[in-house]
Amino acid sequence: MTFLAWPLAVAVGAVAVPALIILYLLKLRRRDLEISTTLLWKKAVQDLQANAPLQKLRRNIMLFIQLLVLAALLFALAEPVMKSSSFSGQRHVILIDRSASMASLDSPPNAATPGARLAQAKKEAIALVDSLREPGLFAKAANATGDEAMVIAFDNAADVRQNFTSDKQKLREAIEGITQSDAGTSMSEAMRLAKAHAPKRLHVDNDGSTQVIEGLSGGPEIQIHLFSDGRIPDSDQAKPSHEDKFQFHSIGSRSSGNLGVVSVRAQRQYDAPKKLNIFVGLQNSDTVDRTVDVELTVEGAVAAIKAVTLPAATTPNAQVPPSGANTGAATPAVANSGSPSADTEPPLVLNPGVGGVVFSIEREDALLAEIRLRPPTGSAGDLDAFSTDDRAYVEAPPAKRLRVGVVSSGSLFLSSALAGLPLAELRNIPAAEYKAMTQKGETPPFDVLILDGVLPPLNNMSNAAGLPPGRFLILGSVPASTAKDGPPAPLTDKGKSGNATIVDWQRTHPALRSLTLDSVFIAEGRDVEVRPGSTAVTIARTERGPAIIELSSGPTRAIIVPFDIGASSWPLDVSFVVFLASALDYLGGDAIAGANDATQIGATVSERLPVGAADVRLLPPPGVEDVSESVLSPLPDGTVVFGPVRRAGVYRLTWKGAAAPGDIQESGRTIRRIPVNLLDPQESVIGTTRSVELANTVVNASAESTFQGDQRLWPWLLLACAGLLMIEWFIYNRKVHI
Amino acid sequence: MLRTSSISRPTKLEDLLSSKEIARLDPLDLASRRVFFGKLKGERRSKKRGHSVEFADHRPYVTGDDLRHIDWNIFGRLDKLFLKLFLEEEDLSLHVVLDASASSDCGEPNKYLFMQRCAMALGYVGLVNLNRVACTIMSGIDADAAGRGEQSAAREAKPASPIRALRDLRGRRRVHDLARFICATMPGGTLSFRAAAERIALSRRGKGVMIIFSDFFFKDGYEDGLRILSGHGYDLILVQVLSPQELEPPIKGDLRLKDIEDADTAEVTISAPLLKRYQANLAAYCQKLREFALRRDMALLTVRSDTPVDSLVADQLRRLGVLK
Repeated sequence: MTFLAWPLAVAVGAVAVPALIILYLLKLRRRDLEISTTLLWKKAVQDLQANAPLQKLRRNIMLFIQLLVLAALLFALAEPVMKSSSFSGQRHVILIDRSASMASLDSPPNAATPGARLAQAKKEAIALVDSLREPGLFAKAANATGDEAMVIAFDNAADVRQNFTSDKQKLREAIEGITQSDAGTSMSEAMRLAKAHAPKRLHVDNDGSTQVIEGLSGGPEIQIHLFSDGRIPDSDQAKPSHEDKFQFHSIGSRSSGNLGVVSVRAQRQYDAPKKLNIFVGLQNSDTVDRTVDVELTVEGAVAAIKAVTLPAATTPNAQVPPSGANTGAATPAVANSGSPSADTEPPLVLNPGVGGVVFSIEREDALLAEIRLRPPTGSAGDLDAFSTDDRAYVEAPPAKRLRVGVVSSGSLFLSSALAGLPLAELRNIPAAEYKAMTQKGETPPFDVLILDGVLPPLNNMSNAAGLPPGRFLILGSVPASTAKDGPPAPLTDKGKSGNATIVDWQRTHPALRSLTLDSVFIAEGRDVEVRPGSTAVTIARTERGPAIIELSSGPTRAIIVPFDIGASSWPLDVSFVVFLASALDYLGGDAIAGANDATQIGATVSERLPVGAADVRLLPPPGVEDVSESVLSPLPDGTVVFGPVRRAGVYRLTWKGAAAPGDIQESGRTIRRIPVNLLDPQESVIGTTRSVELANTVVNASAESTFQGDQRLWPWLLLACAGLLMIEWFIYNRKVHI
Repeated sequence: MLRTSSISRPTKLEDLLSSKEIARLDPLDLASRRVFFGKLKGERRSKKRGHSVEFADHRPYVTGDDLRHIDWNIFGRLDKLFLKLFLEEEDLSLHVVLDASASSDCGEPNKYLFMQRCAMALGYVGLVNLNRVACTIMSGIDADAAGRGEQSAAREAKPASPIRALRDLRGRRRVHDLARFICATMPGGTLSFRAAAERIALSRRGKGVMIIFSDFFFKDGYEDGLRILSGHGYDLILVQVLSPQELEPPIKGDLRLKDIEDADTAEVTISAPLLKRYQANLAAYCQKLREFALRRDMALLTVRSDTPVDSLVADQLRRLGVLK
């Protein structure tokens, strides 16, 4: 026990104790009262009262109690503090993990009604704040400061909630203000922030001048407290300074298994766009095989439920932390306050069991599907402790087929090959009509335009290659700009050449996938030069040069087959039809949008609204209270950007104005739904680790989560004073009671 | 104990005794535990000493007793001195003595008023039964000064005339004279009981029953005075009048108690132990007085000043044998 203000107590005591005793020795001012005789009273007083002044004080219980009260007050004035497990550091950095897995309801472990890990982390952090040492009440005047702390909350990004301060109330408010996020975990930014805000260490020269030197040892050390479940993928990039102490406070239960959706995708079948396939990837981080009901809800109505059994997670043996790393001079001091068992435990590394399920439904229109994991039929209770990844949302665009226009001189091969493809519309446009339309600046209403030996005339919308915006499959000709003052054209037509065979092609290109082109013989090839560094890419070549070229620049995308297919064996080959189908699919890919990936948490969402959209508002997912509605202002082209999104669920953009395909009209406003999912296999493994691997050491979790700083004793002493005063009052009352 | 805040002094008989009380006193007559010679022929049987056949009692001899009353037979047998006590005689003299010192003028009800009323009641009984009645008021102040109402000056003055007396009243007609005498004297001043007793003893005529009303709180002691009076053939009855406030003081706090008679002070802080001690002292004082009285063949009656007068006279004094 130490006293923070003992000189004050001594000074006050030197005055107060003699004053109290003198008060007792002083005569009372008495009230005069006439009575019949003092005969009996004098005798009574003589019997009771001793005459000597010091004997007056003897056995005076009132004085004794008042001296006790005074002693307690003086003791309290001296501000005694009990030091229990005190921190040696003067500055603390409190890192609180608020990532998605901190929403797991398994904390504290073994509790009757476990709460969220984040709440537990906040509770422990506040306990830490409460245990920080304060300067004595009377030492504050002398500019003495107590411990300081800083609060940083992080998920996959970090923000400083409170810079270094000794104001416990501010720290408490900063910690209380941390809200749950559904994002993944990344600690490196938090560590960078902590380092950036840490005060620079001063080097004091002999002449008394000071200068800041980065990385210089000395000065007050910093204690870094990490409140997390330990599932931090990039923890090995965090490198605390070697004089700083790092403490890891593990939150949650190590044995928590979890089932979660880790991927979801909706895709329409190419040949039958009505058919929608929804692929759901699942992960099991539990140590036993788990069966789960996957429920598909389409627009609020349950469409299907499928039971899936996921294999148990396996633990690889090879993952042993480099425990030998914490020897050596450069190793930071490790706060090994954990239990002995925690020292030897490696971090829990799991290979989760994975599985999946596919739902096939027939829906033509745009829809929002919700995938939800439920406990298997017949079993009660919750599926797992972590509910954020138990549901995922995916939006499927309406079914649509390509509309293709063919500007051709009447190639039989082409028309018969196209006739077999599942297209919404196939129209032949005479070359003259097409040229007239283009010159007028009109764009033919087709998703893909096939130009067979025809090139679009140049107009003011043409790009460097001489193509207007649109999707083109150009056969038998090479677009090349003729503008003299324009930028150099990517392609240069060198004229016809001799026969050739295709010797090489990009087998991974979507348009050439699953093709075999080595049997194609070209009787009349064409030499084309592709300007290096341009937007043109050769995707198939003959021994002479490029055979198939992809050209994509801005709004224009084209696949160019320079040679005359009529003068080759390709139309007779099966690969021609496959190529046509693949190329059309690839070129029109945006238009049919048969597949759609949901937005992941942490991403910035960019949506293009129809021109003229006004009063654009972003509504957070229902049930999320810590995100409020926001008003967005679209860019001139109708794009709105918001994010990064931090909570999972279906965000809704509403505006006044026209609707795009897939949007919903509701009470005068247009609504576009933007599903945001966690879909993070790392975050879905929620079992708490007992140690964190940092770049230069492994920190084991502190076993005790109870913080005991300086225990202020003066409130207790004041309480004792009050108690003594009550006893005195009681005794006085007893004494004078008549 | 405390000075009576506001008191209405009696001025006539009706102020002292109500008709109801008088009616209750009418059937009573005086009695004595001792036999006296009568001065006049009375209505009583004469039982002169030596001739009496009705022996009453023995009591131990104390200094000052009449040697003629010693029972020598007993002395011969036991070698101890005992007095023979005999029964009453015919003509009885009643002498009522009141303590009119300042200490009597205290309490609620006022002790002196109570004494006045008791004296009037006894005097009434004596007068209506054709006994000789005398009344003496022991006052600390000069009678003339009291008559002029100069109490404050008189209280500080030395007791120049310690007693005022009215003697040889007889018959119902003198009742109003007695009442006037009793009402005329104002209490106050310091009383020297010994001096007063000497004056009474000197001016005494004949023998009879003497009833002394006082609180017996005398700083110089009551023993000498009583001894003087007891040696002169009186059947002494002591009535100690205490106010309820003296028995249970209603005071609290830090006080400087001031004696009303001699301005002596006592500084006290009232507390439960002090009150307990005071009450123990009072009880011891009364007990000492009682023992003194018993040894001197006096009767002692301690009464509160809030006792009804008729109840005191008709019940307690009757039980004591003063009245019959």
